[in-house]
Amino acid sequence: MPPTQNTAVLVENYIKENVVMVFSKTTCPFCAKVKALFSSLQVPFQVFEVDQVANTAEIQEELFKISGLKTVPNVYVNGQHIGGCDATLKAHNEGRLLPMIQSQPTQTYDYDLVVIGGGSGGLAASKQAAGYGKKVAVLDFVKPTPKGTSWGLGGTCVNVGCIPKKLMHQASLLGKAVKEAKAFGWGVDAETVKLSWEKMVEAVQNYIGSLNWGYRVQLRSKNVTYINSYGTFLDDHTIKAVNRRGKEQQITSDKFIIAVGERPRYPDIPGAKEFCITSDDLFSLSYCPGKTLVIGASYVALECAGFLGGIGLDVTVMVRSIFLRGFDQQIAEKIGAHMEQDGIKFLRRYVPVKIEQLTEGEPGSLKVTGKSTETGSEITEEYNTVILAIGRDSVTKTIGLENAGVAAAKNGKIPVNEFDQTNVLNIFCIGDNAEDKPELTPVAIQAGRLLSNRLFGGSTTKCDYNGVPTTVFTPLEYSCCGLSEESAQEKFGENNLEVYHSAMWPLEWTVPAYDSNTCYIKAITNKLDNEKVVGLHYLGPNAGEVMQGFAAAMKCGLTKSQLDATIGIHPTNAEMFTTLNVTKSSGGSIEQSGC
Amino acid sequence: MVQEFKVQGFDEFLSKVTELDKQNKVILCMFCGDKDASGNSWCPDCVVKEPVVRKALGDVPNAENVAFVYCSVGGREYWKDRSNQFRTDKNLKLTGVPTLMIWGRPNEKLVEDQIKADVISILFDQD
Ligand SMILES: Cc1cc2nc3c(=O)[nH]c(=O)nc-3n(C[C@H](O)[C@H](O)[C@H](O)COP(=O)(O)OP(=O)(O)OC[C@H]3O[C@@H](n4cnc5c(N)ncnc54)[C@H](O)[C@@H]3O)c2cc1C
Repeated sequence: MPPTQNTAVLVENYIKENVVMVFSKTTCPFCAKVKALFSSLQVPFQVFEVDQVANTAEIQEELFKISGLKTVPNVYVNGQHIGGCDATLKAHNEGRLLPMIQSQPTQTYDYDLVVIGGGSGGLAASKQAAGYGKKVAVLDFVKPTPKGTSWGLGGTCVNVGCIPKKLMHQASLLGKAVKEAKAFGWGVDAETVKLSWEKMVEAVQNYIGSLNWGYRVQLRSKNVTYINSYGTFLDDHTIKAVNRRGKEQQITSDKFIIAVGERPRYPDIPGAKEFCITSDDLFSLSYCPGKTLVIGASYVALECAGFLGGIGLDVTVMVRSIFLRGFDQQIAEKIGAHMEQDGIKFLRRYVPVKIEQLTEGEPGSLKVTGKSTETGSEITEEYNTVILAIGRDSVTKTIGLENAGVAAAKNGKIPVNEFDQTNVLNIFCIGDNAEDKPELTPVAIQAGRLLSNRLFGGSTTKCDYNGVPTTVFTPLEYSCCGLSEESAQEKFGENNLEVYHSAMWPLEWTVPAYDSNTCYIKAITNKLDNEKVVGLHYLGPNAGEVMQGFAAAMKCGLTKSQLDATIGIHPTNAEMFTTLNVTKSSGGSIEQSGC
Repeated sequence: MVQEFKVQGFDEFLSKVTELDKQNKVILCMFCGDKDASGNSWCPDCVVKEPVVRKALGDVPNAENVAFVYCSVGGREYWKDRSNQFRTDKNLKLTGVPTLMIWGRPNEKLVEDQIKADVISILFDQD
């Protein structure tokens, strides 16, 4: 149930806000019958599965107070109580039901749905809603960075996230491949092969430009109104939209989806905003950043440091405490170690104190003062570019949430129920803004699509936020699905886990004589549940491609014995998952030394 | 009324848009496969989309300032060659026919299925 809402108000609001409201239980055949009726009539209806919440009894008590009916289904049309299954079917058979639904006395708004934020989640939700013939608008506006960088429609992933970073990661892998090619007999002079930063940026930005345009064309063809303006709530049904030239319009809508995403955080130290850049600036930087300091140990920090190092720059990473908070720490450490071997420097347990400009230029030079978190001693060093990657914050503080009554946490995240609904019933939230959800593009897209299906397509399918696979595109890639070893221990108890692991020597690493024990895989299983795989981890080449299929297997309840029964594809790296036989608890050797 | 010009091949195209550009015209370009003497095209999609585009010309804003250039790119063989000038010129970089675009905005093209009656106006949007 939505947070901070007492049950009476919750139930009343559901009845008031929905033309057709069905209180139901997932197991009740009569409920299924009523839902099937509304589906066949092709009218949108909202379902509340009272058996899916903790306070089932309380809700049924409220329904009893309102309608004298404690059982489900309990159906309301335009706020009026119809009754249970029989009463609803009777109303339909007597031809009373549809007229009641159609005689909507409700207020008319400019739109059925306005989506604030045209990123991964917002675009998906708006296009899906328009597919149901709804009148939909999406607002997308990019506030330039302190450096003045700005971009087009599509949100973080396309412009300053997944897409440019993976392409630049690829650029760096190609550089490495050229060097490997020599070992395979190619007559290339790896020393003279040099990357042009400008050409890389141009190629990447051209592709992004084509995506921006593609989104605009899609919205137009699907009849979604695109408004390139900044949206702020005035009340729960009205927003103000202000465009780049300051022109303002007011827009009303029946429903809203908040999907305004996040932006990089700046530390409160002298020189941060004036002289540093973030990932928002990096991917379109018109000049090569030169000697670079990356501050932070998030995946964004390590990925940026990784590809910058990979294209041949002198790169240092300043890390306050641990690498990749939230990820499996054994693997996080391995990633750091590999980057270090690759020539990237780490300042561990240091925080930045101030950034001063020595010379202006593209790049100029900056003096960075850092402080040890252990001894307090200060160090200084000069860099051409400083990239801040210490985290990202939801940009929900300036969108008038208070005017609409939408509750948000202190960090800007918005609590939602399992229907992606905020505490205000006609306002929903998906993607990076939704509290306690994985911050990933496919998650935002899936949530957006399913939300529109529920709001306008009569669907009851909720977004399953569990078992989401992900990949960190560091020079040595890392993918995982399910729990880290730490969270698995916390959830199931260390004694109830069996962890299978192995080092891995990719075949393609043998000829160039790369280390045979750097890559690593791990399967965490629950002994109490038939050795079900609760966490799968892969550190090696093509990590994303490897994990996607295993994620599907885990959705189907993959167990260790099923992994063992699976026949590998030889010669691949992924096949190692089918032959895991050393447990961590045995302390057995996992070293690799050839075929 | 939007003024219309028909051109054949890359060189003719380039000289026509250069000339119209000097007159500060907004130049809407449509690239299609060649038609033979009896008016049959090797590109069926082009045949379908041409009337859609012609109809939209009636709704073009500031029509007196807009020129429509209908360009026949060549025969099938020429077009399929990945290194032909329409595909490689940095102001065009065509990927398919039919393509509809405004000269000078190589990143804003409507290609094949994207050419629809209610979408074409997006080419004239300011933002
Ligand atoms: C460097 C980096 C790398 C990443 N790599 C990956 C990856 O490899 N894989 C992955 O799955 N995810 C990745 N992510 C995360 C992914 O980008 C986000 O999870 C995803 O974009 C979230 O989508 P969203 O719809 O919530 O918000 P966004 O995509 O951020 O879109 C929000 C949009 O709303 C706009 N907006 C903000 N306020 C307003 C307002 N008031 N009015 C109108 N518009 C507004 C914003 O400008 C933005 O365009 C990466 C992120 C970063 C920063």
